[in-house]
Amino acid sequence: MNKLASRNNITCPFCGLVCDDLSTSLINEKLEVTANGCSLSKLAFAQLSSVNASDLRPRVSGKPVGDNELGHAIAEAAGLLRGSAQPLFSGLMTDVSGMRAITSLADRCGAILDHPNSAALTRNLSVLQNSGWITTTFSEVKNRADLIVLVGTDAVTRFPRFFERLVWNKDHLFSEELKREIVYLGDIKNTQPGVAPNGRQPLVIPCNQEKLGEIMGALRCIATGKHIEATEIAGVSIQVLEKLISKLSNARYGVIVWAVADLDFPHAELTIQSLCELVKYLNKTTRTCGLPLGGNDSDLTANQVTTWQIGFSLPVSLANGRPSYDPHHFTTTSLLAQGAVDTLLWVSSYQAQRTPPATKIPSIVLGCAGMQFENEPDVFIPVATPGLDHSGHIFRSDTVVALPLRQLRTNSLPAVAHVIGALQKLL
Amino acid sequence: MMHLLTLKLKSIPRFRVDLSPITPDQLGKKNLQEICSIRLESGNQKICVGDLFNVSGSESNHIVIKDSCDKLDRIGQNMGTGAITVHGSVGSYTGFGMRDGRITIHGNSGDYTASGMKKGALEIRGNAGHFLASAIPGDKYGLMGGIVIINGDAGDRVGDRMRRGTVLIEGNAGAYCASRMLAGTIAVMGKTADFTGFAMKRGTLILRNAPDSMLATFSDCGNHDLLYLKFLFKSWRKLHSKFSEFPAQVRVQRLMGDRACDGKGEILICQDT
Amino acid sequence: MLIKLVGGKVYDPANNENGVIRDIFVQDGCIVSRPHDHSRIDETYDLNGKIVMAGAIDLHTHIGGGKVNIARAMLPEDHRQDILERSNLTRSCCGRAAPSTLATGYRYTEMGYTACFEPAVLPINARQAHMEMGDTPIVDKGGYALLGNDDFFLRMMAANEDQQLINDYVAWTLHAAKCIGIKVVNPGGISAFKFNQRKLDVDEEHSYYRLTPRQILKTLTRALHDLGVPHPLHVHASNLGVPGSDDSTLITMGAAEGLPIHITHIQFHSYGTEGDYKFSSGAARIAEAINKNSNVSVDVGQIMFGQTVTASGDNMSQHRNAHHANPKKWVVMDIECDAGCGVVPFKYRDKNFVNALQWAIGLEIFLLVQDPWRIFLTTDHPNGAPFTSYPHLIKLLMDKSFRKSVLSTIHADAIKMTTLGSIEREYSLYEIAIMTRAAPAKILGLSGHGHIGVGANADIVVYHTNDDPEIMFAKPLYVFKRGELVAKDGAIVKITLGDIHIVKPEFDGAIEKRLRAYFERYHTVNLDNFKISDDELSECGNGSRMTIHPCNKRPS
Repeated sequence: MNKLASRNNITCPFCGLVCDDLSTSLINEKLEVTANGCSLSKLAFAQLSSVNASDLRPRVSGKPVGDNELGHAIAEAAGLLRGSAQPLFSGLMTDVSGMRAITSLADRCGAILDHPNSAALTRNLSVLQNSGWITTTFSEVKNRADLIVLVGTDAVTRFPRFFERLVWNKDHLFSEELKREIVYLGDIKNTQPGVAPNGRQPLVIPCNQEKLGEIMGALRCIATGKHIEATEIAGVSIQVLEKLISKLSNARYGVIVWAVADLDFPHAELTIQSLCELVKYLNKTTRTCGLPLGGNDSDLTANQVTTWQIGFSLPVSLANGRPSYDPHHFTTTSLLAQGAVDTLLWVSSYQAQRTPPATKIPSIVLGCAGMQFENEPDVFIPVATPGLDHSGHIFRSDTVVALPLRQLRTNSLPAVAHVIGALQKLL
Repeated sequence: MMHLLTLKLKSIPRFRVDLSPITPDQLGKKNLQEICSIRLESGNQKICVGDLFNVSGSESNHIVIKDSCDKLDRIGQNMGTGAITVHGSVGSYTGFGMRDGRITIHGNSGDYTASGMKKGALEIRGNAGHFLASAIPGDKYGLMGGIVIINGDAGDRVGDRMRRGTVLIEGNAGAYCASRMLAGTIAVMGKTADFTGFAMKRGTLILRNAPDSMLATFSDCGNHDLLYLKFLFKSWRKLHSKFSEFPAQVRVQRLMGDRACDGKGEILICQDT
Repeated sequence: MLIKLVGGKVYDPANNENGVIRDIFVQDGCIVSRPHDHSRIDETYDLNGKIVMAGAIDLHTHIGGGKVNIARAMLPEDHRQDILERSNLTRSCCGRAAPSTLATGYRYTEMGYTACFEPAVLPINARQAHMEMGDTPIVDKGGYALLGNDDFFLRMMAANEDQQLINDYVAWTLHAAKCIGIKVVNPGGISAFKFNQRKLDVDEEHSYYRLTPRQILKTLTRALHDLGVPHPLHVHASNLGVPGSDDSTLITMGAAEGLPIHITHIQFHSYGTEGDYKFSSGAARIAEAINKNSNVSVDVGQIMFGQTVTASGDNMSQHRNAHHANPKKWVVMDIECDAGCGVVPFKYRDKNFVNALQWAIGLEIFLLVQDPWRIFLTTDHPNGAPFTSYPHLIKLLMDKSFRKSVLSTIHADAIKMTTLGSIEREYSLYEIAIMTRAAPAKILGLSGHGHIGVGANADIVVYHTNDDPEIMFAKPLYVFKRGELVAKDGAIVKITLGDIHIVKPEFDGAIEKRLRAYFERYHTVNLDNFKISDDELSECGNGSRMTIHPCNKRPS
């Protein structure tokens, strides 16, 4: 029976910042954020705040199973996997223990593993795989950055507390007061959080997102002293770009921020690469670092576990008992569109709206209780949410930090790891 | 008369099939029965050649594939000798790492055509997909030698990290043509799309038609008569391609870049009347 | 279950056995004495003509943590060259220079290693290190926590805080990160790099904190000594890879002022500046210093020719060396006011003068250091070479004519600059056993490991006798882990889960109050989410059992 419980220092798994200073309360089985929540977390917690009894039942072919018949649903799912020549395990929105179970099952089934954010992940990974980068992490930004340039993102739309937690902090390790300048470059939604507590306005350089690559190139030319004929690029004057290079060169610890999810245009990895090459060049004389923002939908968690266990990053195929890596062909969208897979296992344990893409192939969904579908999957098993219903671990946007998730309430929802483990035993 | 080894696709397979075991080198001395028992990977299954194709003929130095479809990947992968002729379209990785020989596709090819190809000739009588002559993730180089001719259009990122060799496209090319190109020659008779030459390091891109816009990080070196082009175009005369009729004139607008990465690649835009 | 291993030739230096033919009895995962009664023997292994040693221990290998995973993500082309197909027991995985955790566990086991230690655990990244080690099958594992570049420590030192307080912080860190030792990487240098300082010699001041690496080394060696942590301060010294680093390393040794100090991958810190290339071998001086100073232990960090990847916490050095990257890609990170990292792929070539001489220098050090109890066999995997090169390395040490024949193939000028050709010493099997089993166990304080006397854990390796040490060590006949047969003829026959080894030295908990205030003001995680509890260690470690080794606290 759930009882009244207030907790502090709770970890929030609903965006890549993975803030761990939330306060929650559990009153009459209703879970709520009471302090340090943001718009995203409050909404996400609210949606999961209470679990109806009917939502706890797995469904097979749309029909709820009987009492204590989780095993029946799992057996049905096992049957689908047994009959599959090429399964796809996607979603992968779970914690480390869930991923450990999933990779093991994927190996057993020769599945292809993909996270729906893999195209975005690949934008960063392909830079790593071709030229690399210099980056930093949250605490360094908080204590050192005297210039923060946000490229193609306002950060707050996807990571609401970015400025609150990392930028406008009062305490700094190395100085009483740290003059922190903000620059936005791109098609930015919300520049308001970039206004300093003392009222200082950020420098906003608007331009088309798809032109950011060309602008990065121009910045590199300016930084290396090459003359550019044009007086403006994508509507941005050369003088403004020169000013930006001057700021970066004179900063003691400049940070250039980007969010792959916001650089969502074809071949954006080339733009990111150019940005990272600029960062490398600036480090000849000063300290500048990139800060890639990501980790939403626990995509980094999924990728970290996959990479360390298997070797390749997502998306990876384990067909025929051999891992192979093909980020171009192995995306969920592409595989489903081409009919290259015949069964879908979709795991989504944080947010009910992260439903699987429409498909006609047999599908098994391990999803949040109360998940609604346009097309009912063959097997639906409601699962526990890590950080609410059971403890676990999840990775933060800067990938270095893995935070513990705590259990806030008890119910009968099974953990993803439990369901997947049981599935594997039947195969 | 020697009958060419012919594989006629019986029906379109459910999943993509890896055709890399089917090259003249690997079939070598195998008899028909042995060839039919070669297993090809498709999803988690292995399909026998004899189940997927009707197989006839014996001359395995020239393999013919009929009724091909775009689910057949890695045709000609790593091949080092002989020829493969395909009637129909093909999937991705056609000619991947090809070491020598000749591949002719009477149809369209998918993505990463001619990636890592080192020598030989690869002709696509239709369109090629994205990443033609490009490097796969993690690899250093795309095309490394040989000649690639596309009768139709090519997609985005032609020649990404191309290292050597020649790519001739009779139709149009997509966005980011010659991105990160390292060396070699690409020529496009049609038009290229946005961001042509992005992060190009070296190499030559010859365009019959100017793109709608050029990156600001390319410098305009003006119009020139480049005599060496005469010899280059002459070398194309013997090709079975529209490029054999490439105009003999050599006046080009020469652009150099991508200066963003200290590139000394050249984009030559033909200036014939 | 009672197992009898019959008539093997035992090399067990911890118990002074140098090729003694005897039986071994194993029960409940331990080595027991010969039963006097007529106990039923459940399994017998005939080891006539075979060589028996304890399971090997690698005390410095980068097997888990953020930077290792960055290397994996960066190198799909490396993975494609080395695919391990799924088998009945083993999962599909891949990687050569940056193998996956599964591949790492399988391969180490197949080679007869039963314990591996990750030397660079950033406390903020400790969870990931333990997760990766938890997903490394069979072998026992443990880690060394990084200190000496974290701002909390540097602030304490700059404020001249009491040694006792620093000891408490060091102990607290060992508890929080669940590690068995402490390592310092480029003392003060990683932090200095964040302040745009590009080099830091041992007696040079950090531009912000005004501390020298010498001070940091002195304080940390003292802390570990006072706390009674068995393993000395594990030091990745200043000036990695720099010509003239031999001077710097000798000074580093002196900074310990006689207290135990372990200098890791010392080969990379043993370069002189002589000759036309201004790059020469400092091995003789380094070896002499090691021989003279019994408080100093080292592991070599031998390089092997071929493609690999360098991964370390030393962002300053990695950034400096990044232009040597081959292929041309690299990552450098500043991390959480804690440390940093750098990942730079590298290809060592025998026809490159510097690489060739590096190879020779490592071997010179091995052969000139006299005490096999104070020198350890490592390639600083993967920095010098992947760990799968160990059998080849052993052959170079044991077979002088082989060594000389390889020497004759390297860059001609390098041959002239090394004394390797005139060194006649050949390591004996006994010395190899000391260097790879008995000594690492001793220096880590791993009670019950590194030997196969009565009372030891039954981590036992059986080799075919072979004149070629490379063949012998590459493919053991049997590998027993806690008495279970896990590998046979170089193939895995059983999957088990190894223990995680830690220490929990005593300390005054008051330090945590200061840490809490510090974290609240300056950090981006909660202190309670930084510390790893025992339960959490088990979860991160995938259920690995925790073994706590004793510390003998010294009176202050």
